[in-house]
Amino acid sequence: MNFAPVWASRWLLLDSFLTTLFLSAIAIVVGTFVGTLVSVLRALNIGVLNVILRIYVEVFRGTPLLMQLFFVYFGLPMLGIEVDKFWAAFSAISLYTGAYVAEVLRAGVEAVPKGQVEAATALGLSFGQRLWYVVRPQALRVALPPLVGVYVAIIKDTSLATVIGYNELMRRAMELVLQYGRPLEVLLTVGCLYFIICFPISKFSEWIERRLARNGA
Amino acid sequence: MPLLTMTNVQKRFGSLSVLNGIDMSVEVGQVVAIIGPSGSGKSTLLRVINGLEPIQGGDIVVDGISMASGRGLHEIRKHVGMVFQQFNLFSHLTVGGNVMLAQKLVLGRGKADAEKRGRELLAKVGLEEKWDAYPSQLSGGQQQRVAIARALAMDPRIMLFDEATSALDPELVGEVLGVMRSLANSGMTMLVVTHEMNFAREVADRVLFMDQGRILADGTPDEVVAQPKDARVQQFMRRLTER
Ligand SMILES: Nc1ncnc2c1ncn2[C@@H]1O[C@H](COP(=O)(O)OP(=O)(O)O)[C@@H](O)[C@H]1O
Ligand SMILES: [Mg+2]
Repeated sequence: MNFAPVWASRWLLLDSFLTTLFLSAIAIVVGTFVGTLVSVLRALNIGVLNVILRIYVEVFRGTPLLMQLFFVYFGLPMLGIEVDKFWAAFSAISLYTGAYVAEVLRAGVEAVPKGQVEAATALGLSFGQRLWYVVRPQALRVALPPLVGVYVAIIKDTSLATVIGYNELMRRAMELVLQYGRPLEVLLTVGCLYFIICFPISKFSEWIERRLARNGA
Repeated sequence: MPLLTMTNVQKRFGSLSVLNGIDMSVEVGQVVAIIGPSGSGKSTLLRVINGLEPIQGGDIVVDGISMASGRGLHEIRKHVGMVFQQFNLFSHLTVGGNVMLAQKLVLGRGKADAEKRGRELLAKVGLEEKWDAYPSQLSGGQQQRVAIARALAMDPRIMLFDEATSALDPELVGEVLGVMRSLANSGMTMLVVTHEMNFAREVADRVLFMDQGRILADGTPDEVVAQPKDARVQQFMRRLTER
């Protein structure tokens, strides 16, 4: 093993690491916000809105992220809408993640027995209070494991942003491999860097799961 | 003035008419048993009283507040407690959490006050030592008693019971009926949908017989349960005793 080329490229790798971290953060933070908003709006059960939200979820889950990135970055300008690299990555990744988060949360909400909401209604809780104090804690218990799965998957998927010119980790790895011909060392290093991002998320979710589990079986 | 008045209440699910012009009133302290065949609209009758189901016609007035008025629904809910067949305790909260949640959120009580009231009521239903238990650690009978305490913690003027003992193992029915009986004796106004004819006979001041979304009979337990005049009621009672 010879890690000298990797070490020589440490600042480039750090730069790409931060890019991947940045794109992942957008996906998780904004995607979760979008997904939560969609599932709350869906819980309101307003006819037309429900149809629109369902179409959104189905379209963004049903097509590859790569295509969505292409569409926003190269397609929209053809329609006269200029989109720079950042906004293209931001919107495509957020909406893509949002659709998956929305679906996971919907399944969680549907797993909460109807009687729970009825009891809360009968006790006089408002719509928002029912959602926050009764539905959310119970839905999260169901949704958390698949939610973490969505996060980890999207962190890997951010590598697709390379097609619109982001020098994220995977792209940098390929460049270094081509340059130095040391695939094992480079990929090991990059693998570790991905792990550094994913690991805290798994740990955090385990912690939340334990906390939820303590609050009743 | 009656505590609850229903005038010409209509309830439809799509084209299915479930309540066909319900007229009735309940005085303070009255215990009213509601009986009748399955699907006759008993649950729906209770559910429209606290607004779990909106009505399509008529009005419901509780404690002088009309359901049709602006804040009516919200105000009425605060005065009406409901106990369900399936208990519906919040499974992520302890017994204490269950009896305190709505006190804090809806009545704006502080934690200390909510806990004091909650413990009082749990003692009343004989479960004070279960404060820290989760619903899944309780028997059905215990869960239902907690559910009663949770509803009472809101200091309701009326309590609605929808087949509160139907989901219980036979040996657990008694403890819940016991709590309901002492509640009735303490002067609570109660509407009780039940198949327990002994309870209806012994505890209720009044029995309503429902059929196809109408009140077919309304009288003392003696008039409705023991010596019904209406043929439909007679038939229902015969079937019940044959079983
Ligand atoms: N949410 C609902 N949607 C459609 N139909 C309903 C709904 N709830 C009750 N029903 C119908 O209303 C009728 C009365 O139901 P219910 O009040 O539950 O009767 P009971 O409690 O006397 O058995 C039944 O025919 C039932 O199928
Ligand atoms: Mg019923």
